Amino acid sequence: MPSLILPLPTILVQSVLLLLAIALEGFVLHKQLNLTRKTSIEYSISINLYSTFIGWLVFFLLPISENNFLELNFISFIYFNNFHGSPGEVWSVYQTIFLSCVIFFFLICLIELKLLDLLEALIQTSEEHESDPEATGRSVILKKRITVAFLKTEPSKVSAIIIANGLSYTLVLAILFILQITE
Amino acid sequence: MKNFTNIWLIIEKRMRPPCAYCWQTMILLSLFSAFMSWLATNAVSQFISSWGWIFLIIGVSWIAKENSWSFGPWLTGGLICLFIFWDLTDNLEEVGWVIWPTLSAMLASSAAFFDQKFNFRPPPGADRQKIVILIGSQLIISCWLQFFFLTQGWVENYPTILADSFQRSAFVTRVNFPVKTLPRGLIILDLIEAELNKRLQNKSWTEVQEWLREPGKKEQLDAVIEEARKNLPPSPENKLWQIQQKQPPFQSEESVVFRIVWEGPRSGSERYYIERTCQLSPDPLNSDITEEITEELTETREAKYVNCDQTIIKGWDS
Repeated sequence: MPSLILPLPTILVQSVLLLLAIALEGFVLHKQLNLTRKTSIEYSISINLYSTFIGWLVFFLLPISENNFLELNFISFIYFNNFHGSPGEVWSVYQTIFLSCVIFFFLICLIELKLLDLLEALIQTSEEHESDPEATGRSVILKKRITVAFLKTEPSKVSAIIIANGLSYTLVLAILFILQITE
Repeated sequence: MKNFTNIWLIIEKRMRPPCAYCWQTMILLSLFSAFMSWLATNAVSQFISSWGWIFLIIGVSWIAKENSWSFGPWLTGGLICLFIFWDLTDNLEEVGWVIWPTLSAMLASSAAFFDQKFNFRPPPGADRQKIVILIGSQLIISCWLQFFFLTQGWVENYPTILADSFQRSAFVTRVNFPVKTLPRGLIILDLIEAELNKRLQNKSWTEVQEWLREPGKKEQLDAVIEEARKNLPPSPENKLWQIQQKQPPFQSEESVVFRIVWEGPRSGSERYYIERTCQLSPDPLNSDITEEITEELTETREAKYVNCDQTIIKGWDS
């Protein structure tokens, strides 16, 4: 084995940030949507896990290995915490990062919103569904609820998700900024 | 000897199938298949060993179920990944590792999708939230594994980054790595040195001096560099090494300086380079002074004019 390079800091930092975001967003969901503490934390865990997963997926699907400039910049950033290229190029990298942060924020909000709708549709078992003995009838209702979840959006949820994400995003960025400065 | 018999008795007692339909049968079947596939050859062996794996997977998941081990699905999932990605197709190990947690989470939650009579049904309300969180958390672990393989692939493509320090990295860390890695660029300099030696070995010292005379010297050395580049083992990082000729510090025709500059990712902002100075001097056994001896020696020994004993590595020391 020539070398062993482990992404331990990634795992550690991501876990801590996820925990903070889950706690904060759970609190906001609890306050804004009148959910019980348990439900709001469970919802918060789920939407954060899946939105993180989607974030990773986007990163893995980037055409990094095809684009040399992109690849070298990712290597520089991940291994040495800097960017590769001339000052002008580095400036454009900063601009791209800023822009993708903004886009990512709204993307994550949208994803979490739909995840929340979907989650409610999946988990909610109201009385009439419970009393329905037919398993097939139940799954038809489930399918219908999932379609409705994709199409309809409640304004109260939109504001709850935007507030929750705005807070956790700010917190995460602040922590990353402090980590960056103290180095 | 007595101990040995005792152990055997315990194993036998444990492994003797209490009935035809239980896990001991499966494990014994898989052992039997393993033995048979060892005896058989090629395709037949592969076929039997596949069955061995399947029996093993069923047997192990059965044991886990019977003893209600909480990590059972991860064991079964691991075996399935081993079977599919290591036994059947042996070049896809990474994929096996990456899907292992997710597959295991799906196995763990699959029980909730069936009722007592093995009919498919949506899981009961209380289980749904648990399943969603379990699969989500394992998906994240899969992503971490994929990230590990991604960074590992970069190191393989650009081995020179290993020579640098990862002190400032917020993403990766080096574990137990006592050997100092040298930048891979050193092999470029070795190749240049070898090429230089090759070009000069059949020349006499006067010819070497002629070869080194100014207007032609640069082109000659460029040709040497060009040839060394061609001999370089292919790697994506090759294009990040810039090879230069440098003017020797003292205006001497008998010395050449090669500098290779690392243009790739690095921890410092300054230039990273390796410089090698080669001194050309008459070979004591093959110079013009001893021309008579040379003629006898040319068949047995090649002249060695090049002496590169000065290598400066700048940048990676931090």
